[in-house]
Amino acid sequence: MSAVKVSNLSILYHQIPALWDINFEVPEGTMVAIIGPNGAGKSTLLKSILNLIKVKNGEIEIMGTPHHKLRDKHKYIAYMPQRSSIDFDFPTNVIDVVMMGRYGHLGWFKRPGKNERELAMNALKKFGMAEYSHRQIGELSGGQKQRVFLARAYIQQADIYFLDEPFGGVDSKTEQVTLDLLKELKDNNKTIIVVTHELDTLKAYFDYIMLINTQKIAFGTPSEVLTAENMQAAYGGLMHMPHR
Amino acid sequence: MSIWELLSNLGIGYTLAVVSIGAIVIGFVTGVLSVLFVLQKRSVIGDALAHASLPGIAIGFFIVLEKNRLYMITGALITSFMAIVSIMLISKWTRLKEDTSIAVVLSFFFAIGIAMLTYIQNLSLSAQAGLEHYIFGNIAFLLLSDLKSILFLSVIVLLPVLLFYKEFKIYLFNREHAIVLGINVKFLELLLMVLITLSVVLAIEMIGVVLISGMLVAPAVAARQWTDKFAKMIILSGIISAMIGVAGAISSSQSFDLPPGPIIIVYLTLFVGFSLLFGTKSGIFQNWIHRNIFHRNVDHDELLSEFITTTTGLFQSDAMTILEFDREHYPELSELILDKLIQCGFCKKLSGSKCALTYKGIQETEKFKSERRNE
Ligand SMILES: Nc1ncnc2c1ncn2[C@@H]1O[C@H](COP(=O)(O)OP(=O)(O)O)[C@@H](O)[C@H]1O
Ligand SMILES: [Mg+2]
Repeated sequence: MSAVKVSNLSILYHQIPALWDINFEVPEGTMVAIIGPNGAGKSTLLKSILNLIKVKNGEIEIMGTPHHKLRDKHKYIAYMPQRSSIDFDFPTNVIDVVMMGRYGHLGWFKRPGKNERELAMNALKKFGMAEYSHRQIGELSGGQKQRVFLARAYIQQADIYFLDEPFGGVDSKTEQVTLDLLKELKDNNKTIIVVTHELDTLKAYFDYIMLINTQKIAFGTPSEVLTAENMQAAYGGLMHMPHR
Repeated sequence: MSIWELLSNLGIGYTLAVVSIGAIVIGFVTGVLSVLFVLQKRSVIGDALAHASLPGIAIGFFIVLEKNRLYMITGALITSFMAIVSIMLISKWTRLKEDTSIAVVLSFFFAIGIAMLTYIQNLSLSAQAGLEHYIFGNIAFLLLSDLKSILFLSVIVLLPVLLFYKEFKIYLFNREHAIVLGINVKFLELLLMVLITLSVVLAIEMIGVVLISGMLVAPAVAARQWTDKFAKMIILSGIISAMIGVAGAISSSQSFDLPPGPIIIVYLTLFVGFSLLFGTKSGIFQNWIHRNIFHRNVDHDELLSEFITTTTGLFQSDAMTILEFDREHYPELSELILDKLIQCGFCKKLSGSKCALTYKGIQETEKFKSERRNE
């Protein structure tokens, strides 16, 4: 069974397509990168899979179930949003944000307790953030913020992990922590879908790469996808190709 | 000895006591709701709700021809709901921006409300007395029976906030995350809208339609300057709003010409100003101290290292060398750091949010990276 199956997906914003006729399948337990230039529709693709954007054209299945009919979503899906989409002035601290990863498991009315606090604290330790547990979330550097959201996704213990731009503008420690987490998730047979525009150092980790620019340019193993023609098709003249 | 005797022994008249308790309760409830309202970041919707409740209140009055809270509330809920639905439909079917459609709907409902109130005024019924107070507010005529229905309504508004505290928190912080966790966000949005409408109806007699949105915004804004915890902010906002409510109600009852609404808003605005200046969490004064004491001695190295660590995605990549970058992709690159970098000549601003690293900046970056590799 595929973890995620996208068929004939098109998304329009005010009659202008952000995605056009996208088809692909992500087998369970694989790690997939979605790459493409800015504005290519990568976040839009992730959000439509997660049912955060209404899908009018096309079908999306998660674990064989249409995504809008999926029950107990928190068991299947963990999502790390793009950092720029978060309101860092919100009155809350690091440990509270991490504990939110368990809110789905708690169900209505139940408040997070000792168990959730412990899970959150362990996750923070794992990502080197234990000493910041009571900081206001706005008072962290970009990389530290990122690690808080990694911890939040981590304690959810879902089957499929969606990460939007986890390598955008972070320090090398955060990059390392993120990579370690991806490896650990993969060893535990989780499915991982990562949006990124930085692939040079990472291509060895991914089983498949989805290259898009509104339309699907290519989907396949890294060596199949990362050809000069494909990159030219996706990035046009925008990207400087490696000159070693 | 009853509580009234006790109060009158303390020199507080019965009427003033009822009015004060009413103002405290109403103030507390609107203060609590204002936190949810402000953090939802859709304050224009609240203004529309407040204005759209006016015709509903008038209709509620029409039906029974007396000031019956139950009918007025039901009326207010119905017209507010109609307003929200029209806003959504207009935004969907036309290409008007949401705030434009809100403005259109808001003035339409408000005009109808005013027309109906004026009509009622001219009916010369005995029960109509005081209906004009819904415009600027009045609390001096509050009766003990009013107090009971106010208390009842307050419990109805506060209980869901308590019950769904966790859900509201995650929804307000990160709506998309809440959806992904399977939390019913549509339900929360509807509930919040109903609660805001209820608190509007609750406070409308005291503040009046025109100024009510201030009461729904100001307490939360003030509270945020003194705390950065969600629960504390809710309680603090409730207390601030209750104190100012009662102060306004008492001031108004001392000078009969002034309705409480404007007085309360003036007090609130002054307090918000004070909090913005001196608040311990994000007050201007605090920030200024922070910036000038803690950042005065920032040296180039530290600045640059912060810059580089926030932008490694761009500059560490060996294969690509892009010197131009878009600030929007680096939310951590604060205005302050960028200004300093520009001052140092490491960076320059291009058009819009585009920036570029200068030759000097590139050299410094390279130097910094090689130093770090050697560590
Ligand atoms: N809510 C929206 N309303 C209108 N246009 C949007 C919206 N979100 C994204 N877009 C547009 O859709 C395109 C794809 O955006 P996005 O998915 O964020 O790209 P990426 O994540 O690949 O940078 C862009 O042109 C963007 O301007
Ligand atoms: Mg994106």
